[in-house]
Parts: sequence; structure tokens; C-alpha cells
Amino acid sequence: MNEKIVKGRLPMKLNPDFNRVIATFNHEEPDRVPLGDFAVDKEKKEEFLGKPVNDLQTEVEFWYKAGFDFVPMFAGILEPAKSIGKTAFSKDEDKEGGVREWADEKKGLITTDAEFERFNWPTPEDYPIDKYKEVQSLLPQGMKLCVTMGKIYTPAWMLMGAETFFMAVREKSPLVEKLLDRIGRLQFAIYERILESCDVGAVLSSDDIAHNAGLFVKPDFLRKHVFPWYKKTGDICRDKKIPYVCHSDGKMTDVLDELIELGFNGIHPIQPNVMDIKEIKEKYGKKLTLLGNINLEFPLSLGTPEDVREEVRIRIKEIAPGGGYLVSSSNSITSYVPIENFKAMIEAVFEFGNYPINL
Amino acid sequence: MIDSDEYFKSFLDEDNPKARIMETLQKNLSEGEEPFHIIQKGLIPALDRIGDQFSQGKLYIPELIHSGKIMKECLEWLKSSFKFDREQTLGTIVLGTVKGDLHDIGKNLVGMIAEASGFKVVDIGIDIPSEKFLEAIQTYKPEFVGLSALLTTTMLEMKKTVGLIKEKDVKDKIKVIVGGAPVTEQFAEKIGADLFGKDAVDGVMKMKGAMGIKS
Repeated sequence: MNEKIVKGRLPMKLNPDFNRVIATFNHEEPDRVPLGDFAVDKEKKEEFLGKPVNDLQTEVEFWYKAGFDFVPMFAGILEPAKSIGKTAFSKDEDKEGGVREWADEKKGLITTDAEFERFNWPTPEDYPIDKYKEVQSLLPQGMKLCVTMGKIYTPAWMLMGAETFFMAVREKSPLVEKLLDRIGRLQFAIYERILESCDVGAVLSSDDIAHNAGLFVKPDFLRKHVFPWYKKTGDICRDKKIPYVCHSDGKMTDVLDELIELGFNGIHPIQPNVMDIKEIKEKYGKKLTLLGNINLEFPLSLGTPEDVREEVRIRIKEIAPGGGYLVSSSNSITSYVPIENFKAMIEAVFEFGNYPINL
Repeated sequence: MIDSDEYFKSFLDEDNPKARIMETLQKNLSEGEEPFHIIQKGLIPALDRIGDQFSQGKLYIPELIHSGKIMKECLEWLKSSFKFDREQTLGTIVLGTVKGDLHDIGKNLVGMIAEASGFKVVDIGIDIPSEKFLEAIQTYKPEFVGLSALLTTTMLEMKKTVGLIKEKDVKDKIKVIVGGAPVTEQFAEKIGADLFGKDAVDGVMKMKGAMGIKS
């Protein structure tokens, strides 16, 4: 690396240290507020690095150069569109020509018992752990591997198609229960193997259970069919003493107490239009570490770098004192976030995030 | 007597909501109530209440979708049984998801609730370029045009479409309503939309409000 180092501007002097993240989760003040995004679209990583990101080495290089203390990796079934088959899935093309895949929103791949039986179910062995071990071997000093796992509810509706799934939930169809159980068993077997075989720094359980007004389905349904799986992974994280973060878009305020009971000690991404991060910090204090809340729409996508810088400054000023906050977008860094805005977010963390916060 | 509370409870019946609603409907009809009054005083207030509770996060999407479906079936049954047409009671809405966006659920929910509330709904689909919205306006002469978007990028397409509709609608006859997860009231205002729906139910309420109909 021969780039010219300018204080506070990318590329900058980097000192990745996962202990910074751990201290934050312990509600202590480390040297600096950590970055907390777990997903950045490939196009954005490539634009950031100025080269293709087609292997694990470049993937690690991206997270390192972007100032993170960890390299996040996905595990298990995520969007069935990507890991199972694309038959029932459609595509949205964003402005930069990238392709975004989405599950069918009406009728999915599994809508009957016969389709459930015929479905070519993957096994845990279809998800080898070699890549996680390889990433570990590539990590720069101080960085850790973090794993995004925990999708139980999302693959179920994606496999059934949203409208079919919601009708089936209302009609108490045994197929929904069977599907969730099958997905839960498969996912947990994959997660257990990764957590046993790799040195994982933290787990992000990523499962969108909420929309802007609240949960998609009754909490009782989640308690019965989804939360028990969250708890099983939570138990392992607790035994290993590693952070366990719940990611869901939308408003998940109604079940925050229960999520804490299941073992989560962090939440992400705290959508600013539906969840009040200040209220959450006040109410839950040291029980929860907060990740996110830098608005994807404005300023990240539609604002200027200066708008981004100001939003990061305010969030750090209000939420970071005492630890328990990682700066991240309110969803992920999508391909349509201007690269200058993404860089401005990182630079603002290095500029304003030094403890003690005195803004 | 028409009891909207009974309809409300029937929609949410755990075991057989459709049968329970039909039973109440039959009872009201046998009491000599007019189908129009059953809809206005029984079914619509019950569905409004379900929508309201959904917006407050007290009811969930399965209940909302299911209730909308039952409501539609009830209306069709009343129409076919009594040669009853209530389409003239509310206006027409042309609905679509803007170009570049293939998301259906939010738009479909709006369509379902709007139809159940008495609007005529023309769903022109997903990934709809602004010219197609203009064509649909020419063909269907709607009172409302509803635009849906899920992606931040397609919010910009929404802006373009609203601009074009407003440019062509010189007599300001059409009300444009926008919605979708990333869309905010401020954004709606900024791009010149007349109405903003924070969710499907709120969108339909706003259209009813714009027609001077109280929920």
C-alpha cells in the first residue's frame, strides 16, 4: 500500500482491533466507535477498491481498507433465490446496471405438501465451512470473522411466496409449520458446525420479521415457530461469550424485551423512520448494543457527503457516549449509495468517533 | 340490526371467519336490511377498524390480507345475489409499482383494501414506466393514481412520474398518492404528490378523506 495518508480522509491509517467491538458491547468506551455494517453490495466494494472483488482475499481487503474491525460472511440459506434456485424469482435492475434478486411475492416454489416433498432440499453438507476457515487465515492482525446467520422466517415466506405464506399462516396451515421446522433444522445444523469449527467474533441473526408498522405476523406465531431457533443459536453465543445481534428491518419495538431474553445483546439496523434510537438507548441502557440508524434513504443515498458527515456526527454525539453503539447504515450499503457518501460515513466515524466523545 | 362490532369480530374469528360473516350477513338480510346498508354500516366500518389496528401494529398482515379477501368475496356475493352495483359510490384508482421496481405486496394490499372499501381498482402492475401511467389515465379517467416503490432508486422514478402526471393534468383533476417502505411524507410533498400513505390502510383512508368520506 503506497497511498498517501491524509489524517481523517480515506485511505487512512488503519488499526483494526476487534477488542474495540467487544468493549463497545460491554458498554465500555474503547478508543473509537466501531463501524457496524454487515452487508455492502458487491458493486460498491469494487468501486471502493477500484478492482473486482471475486475472491476471499479481495473481500477481506475491502473490509480492512474500509476501516472495519471484522469481516462479515453469510452462512446457510439466505435468500432462496441465491442459494436454492431462481425459478420463482424476479429481478430488479438498479440504476448502475447491477441486478437485484427478489423472491416471488405471490406464489413461491412450495405451496403444497407435494411440492414440499418434491423440493430438492439442500443438506448441511451443501454449505462447506472451508471459506470461513480461509477467511480466518487471511485476516489482518486484530480483525475477526463475524457470521451472518439466523434466517428462519424469511426463507419460509420466500419459498412459499409472500401472499401464499400469509394466507397459510392465517389459516393455520400445517405446511407452514412443517416448512419452518425444516428450515430451522437445516439452518441450525449449518450454524452449529460453523460456530464449533471457526473462531467467530460475533453473530448477526438476520431475519426480517417486521415492516414499518410492526411485526408481519402475530408474536405468538414467532414465539412458537421462529424464536426457539433464535434461542438455540443464542445459547451457543452466550456459552462462547460472543455478541449476538438481531437484524430485522422495520419496527421490532414490540418484541425487544423478548429478543433480549432469547440471548440477543445487540440490534441492527434501527430504521430511523420507525424506531427511535434515543428512546431505545434510554429504555434498554446496557442491555442492548445499538448498530445502525444512519438513514439509507437520506442522507446515504440521496444526500451529500456533508449531509452524511453531519448525520454521523449527531448520532455519535447522542448515542455513542458510554459505548454500546456501532455506526452503520439503516439497512446495508446498497449499490445505489454514492461512493462519496459511503466514504464520508467511514471518515466521519474516524473524525468524530474518538473517545471520550466531546462534540 | 347491523352491528359492525359483530362483523369485526367475525373477520378475526380464529376458526371460520367466512362462515361467521355469512351467517351475520344472512341474519341481517332476513331482518330486512338493505345490502347497501349492510356494506356501509357493517362491513366497511369493521374493515376500517381492522385496518386501523394494523396501522397501529396491533393486527398483522395475515389477518389484513385474509379479511380483505373475505370482504371481496362478500361484496361479490351481495352483488351477484341482489344485482347490486356500488361502483358508483367511490372513485377509480389506477395503481402501479414504478419502473425499475418489481415489488407487488404493498401495491396489492392497497388494491385489496381500496376495492373492499368501494373503489374501482385498475392495477396496471409492476415495473411501470411513466408513459404507461399516462396511458392508463387516458383510458380509465381515474380520480386517483397510486404509485408504489420499495427501492430508494425507484423513488427517483416516482418523482419523474408524478411530475409528468401533474404536467398533463392541467385541470388538476387527478390526485396522486404515493407510498412504499422508503417513502416519507416529506418526500411525497417534495415531489408534488397530493397524498401519502404510510401503509396500505393509511393510503386508502387518505383517498377516502380526499373524497370527503369519513372513516
